[in-house]
Parts: sequence; structure tokens; C-alpha cells
Amino acid sequence: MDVTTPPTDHTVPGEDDVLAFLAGFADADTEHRVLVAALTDPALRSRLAANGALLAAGDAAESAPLSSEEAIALAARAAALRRRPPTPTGPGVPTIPLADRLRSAGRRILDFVGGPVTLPGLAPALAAPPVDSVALHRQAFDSPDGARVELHQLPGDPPRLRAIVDTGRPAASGAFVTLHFSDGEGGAQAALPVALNEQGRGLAEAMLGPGSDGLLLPAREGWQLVGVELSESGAGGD
Amino acid sequence: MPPSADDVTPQRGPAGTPGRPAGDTQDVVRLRAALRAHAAADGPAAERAARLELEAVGDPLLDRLFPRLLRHCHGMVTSEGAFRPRNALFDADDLAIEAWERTLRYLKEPSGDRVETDQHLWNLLRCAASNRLVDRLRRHSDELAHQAPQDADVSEEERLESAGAAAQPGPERDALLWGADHRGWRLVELLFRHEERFHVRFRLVTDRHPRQFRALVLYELGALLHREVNTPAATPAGRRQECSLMRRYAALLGIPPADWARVEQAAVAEEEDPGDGALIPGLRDAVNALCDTSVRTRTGLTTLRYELKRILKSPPARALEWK
Repeated sequence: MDVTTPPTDHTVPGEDDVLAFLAGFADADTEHRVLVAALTDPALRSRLAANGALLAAGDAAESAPLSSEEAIALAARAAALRRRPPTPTGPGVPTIPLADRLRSAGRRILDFVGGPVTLPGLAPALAAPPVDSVALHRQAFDSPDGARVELHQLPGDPPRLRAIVDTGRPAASGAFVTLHFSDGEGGAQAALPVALNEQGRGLAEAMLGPGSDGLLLPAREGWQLVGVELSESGAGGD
Repeated sequence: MPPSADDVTPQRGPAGTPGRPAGDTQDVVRLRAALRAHAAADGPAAERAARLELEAVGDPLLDRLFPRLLRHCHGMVTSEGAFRPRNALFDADDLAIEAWERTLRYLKEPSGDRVETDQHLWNLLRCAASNRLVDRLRRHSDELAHQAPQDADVSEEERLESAGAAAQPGPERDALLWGADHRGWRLVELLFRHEERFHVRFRLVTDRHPRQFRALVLYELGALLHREVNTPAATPAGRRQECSLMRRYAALLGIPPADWARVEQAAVAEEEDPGDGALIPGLRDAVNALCDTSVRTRTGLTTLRYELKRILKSPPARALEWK
């Protein structure tokens, strides 16, 4: 090899080189390149220093003892971020890159067919039709794979909304579903979380009314169920 | 005990991958192969098969490493110290996901061959996270500087960054490193690791004993360190960082660690620069003691410097193998 023109002399180290240097698996040539650059370029030197400070902080946090509550919370968050639905394997099923699935993990949007919520209690009070005290108004939304959301208007004053969710699959501990409502005009939005049991079923209630504190859905016309989000995909049956 | 924040020595992390010895290579090798196979897959069937293999390999790793990474990232973004006010703006979850993605991209590229063990993989994950956070912090700093250039509440790290951005690398500093290019690196390595071979190879170019050139290299590297740690803008963290980098560089050049420790000690000792071309007394004495030389003046060093440069340009030096 012609040693008079070594190919990597004075080349600026790239991010890959810096990562290898920091992580401790750089070869001698890479290490040399990064060191020479760092010793002659204060900006790179300060970048390495900043990395060192952050890594030390991360290592310290990692080795610190955790309370049981903290450990549970951490595990739940990690699970919510990393879990994903199983890969469909049928012919013609599009696949999603792992990184993309990881990014969207924990915010899996279920394939529900949404639509207007027509329960009478959601209409403005003056326009609302009288509700029989024993009548149960209900409305159901289904997903193609068999999950179901039912909305019930319970009698009472003010009336209450009950959401019943059945994902049709087992759910992990802590899994929940969020029902997203919109007024259809893009102005008002509301969300109702529904905790799931091990069978992937859950129930939640909220008050309906003119929009005072503690009410989930201010009574108004035009509410639509626009999305069902599985915030922890244990229901996916991983 | 966690490593020092200023130490740029390769950081191995607190332990090996949970449940596995630190040197295990099985998982990372399989993951790398699966990533590359997936990238190269041609057609839906091949892509699907590669995807399944990637999940079979990647998911257990993800399950094992992700909680740990998340905790690490949480520690970084909530760390005490100069970065905290800005760190708090960033989300540990996002950081962990970005670090995971960056690591997968790294593994897929040819540079991924460097990642040989599961411990390397873990180190890469945490360094990808810290590097990403540094990027964000700097971008945020730039935005803040653009919005409020007169902000007086500047942290130590920000001052370090500002000082770094203001200073420009100069050719003189580069030249003082001696081993900055490959041939210089090999020459200095020969000087420190194989004195006899240096003597034999260059006997027709110079009749000086190699220890005199060793004294030159040690003094100039020490003087460079002395100058950097004594600049008015240098912070304690910056000084420790400079020492750490120079220590690693000296080791790479083949300078025995004990020798460099003596040079470093003399270089960082509180001592005014004598000026007027005089040598720094403490450093000069330390180098002379180490190399059994009697360099007393700048002129003597200049002569040695001229001769070492001549050696560097000589045919025997051009024939130095750098691999």
C-alpha cells in the first residue's frame, strides 16, 4: 500500500465516528481522527464534554435504587412504548418498519368506523327531547376485527354517559382505551379513557351537561366519535 | 461509582446486558444480519420473511434493553447541573425511541461492524441518546441566542460551548500535536514504543539519540496542555476534559502512561508562562528528568523540531507503514 497518501488524514470525523469513540468500540484510526479533531477544535471538545456529563447523569440514574412505585411506573411506560400489535402475515398485508411501529407504539389507533353520537342527552338542554326515566338510549360502533364500543345514556339529571368497550382480545395489566370525540367543526374535542380488564373489556362513565366542571361532554349537538386509541397494546395479544 | 462527567475514556456502562455476560455477541450479530437482510429484501415475500426474522431477533432485545434505556434517558433529561433548565424541555420517551432508531441505522451501515458485543450495543444506545440530546440542546441554545442574545444567565456549559465556538483551530496547534497525521503518528509511535528501530531506521538522517526527540514531543504536548488549561476562558470542567483527551491521545501515540502522568502533572501545575521564549520551568525539568536530557532553551527545542520535521520528510519516514 502506498503509505505516502494515507486516505483518512485530516478528515473530519462524522457522527458515526464520534458515537464509536464515545461508546468505546472505535478502532485506532477512528479514535486518532476524533482525538486530533477534538484537540484542535474546541467545539468538538465541548460536544464530547457535554456527552460525558449526560452519560454520567444517565448512568447514575440507572444505578440509583427505585421505589416499587417508580419501578412499576417505569415498566408500564416502557411497555406502552415498546409493545406493538403482532405482525399481520397474510398475503398482501402491508408491513410497517420496526422503527415506525416503535414510534407509534403505545398510540395504536384502532380501526373503528366512527360517526355522529346521537344520544339525546348530548343535545342542548332546551332542544333535548324528554327522556323516559326507564329508557336506555344506546349506540354502538364496531371495528372490522370485532372490537366494539357501546355508548349508553343513563337516566338521571344530569344524564350520564356510559362507554363500554370490548376489544375482543386479552389485554395486559394497565391497558386502556381512549375514546376521542370531536364536535365535527374542529373546534371542540373531548377524550374518555376506559381501563381494560384482562379480557380486554372496560367500562367508564361521565356526566353530560351544560359544560360545568366535572362534565366530560358539554351538551351540544354534533359530537362524533372520531377515534379509538389503544394506549397500551396489551389487547393486541403480544 | 459513575464515571466522571469529564472523562472521555470509553464508558462501558454499569454492567452487561441484564441476564447476559457483557461480552456476548450472539444478539447483536443476529440483529445486524437481520437488519441488513431486511434492507436488502427484494419483493413482498422476502420483505415479509425478513421482517419476521427482524422481529424475532429485535423484540427480545427491545424488551430487555428498552426499560433500561428509558431510565437512562430519564436520568439524562432530569439531571442536576448546568444542563437541567434546558434538559427539562425534552422528553425521555422521545429520546429513547430516537436513540433506538439511530442505533438500528448505525448497525445497518458498514460502521455497524464495529459493534461486536452486546455491551457495545448498550454503549451505542446510551451514546446515541446523549449525542441526540446534545444536538437538541445546542439547537435550542442557538434559538435562544437568536431570540435573546443578551441573556445574562449563562451556564458553565453554555460558556464552554460559546468559548468553543469562538475559538478557531489553528495550524500551529495542529502542528504541535506531532501525531496529527498518519505518518507523524507512526513516527512518534516508533519513537516511544521501539526506540531501537527508530535509531536504526533514521541513523543516516540524524545522529541524535531518540530520547532527545522524545523530550521534544513530550514538552510540546505538555506545553499545549499547559496553554489550554491556563487560558482565561477555561473552566474546571474544561480543564479536566482537556487533560482527559490529551491523556488518551498520548496513550494512542505510545507514550507510556506513567511518563505522561508526570508531564501532565507539571503542565497543569499553577505556573505562569515565563514568556520571552523561555521554557516552562516545571515542565522542562520534568521532561528532562524523564528523558535524561538537558534541554534548557527554546532554541534547543527549535533545533530538535527542525530535525524531527526533516526526519518526517525523509525517505525512511515516507516508507513508514501506517497500518
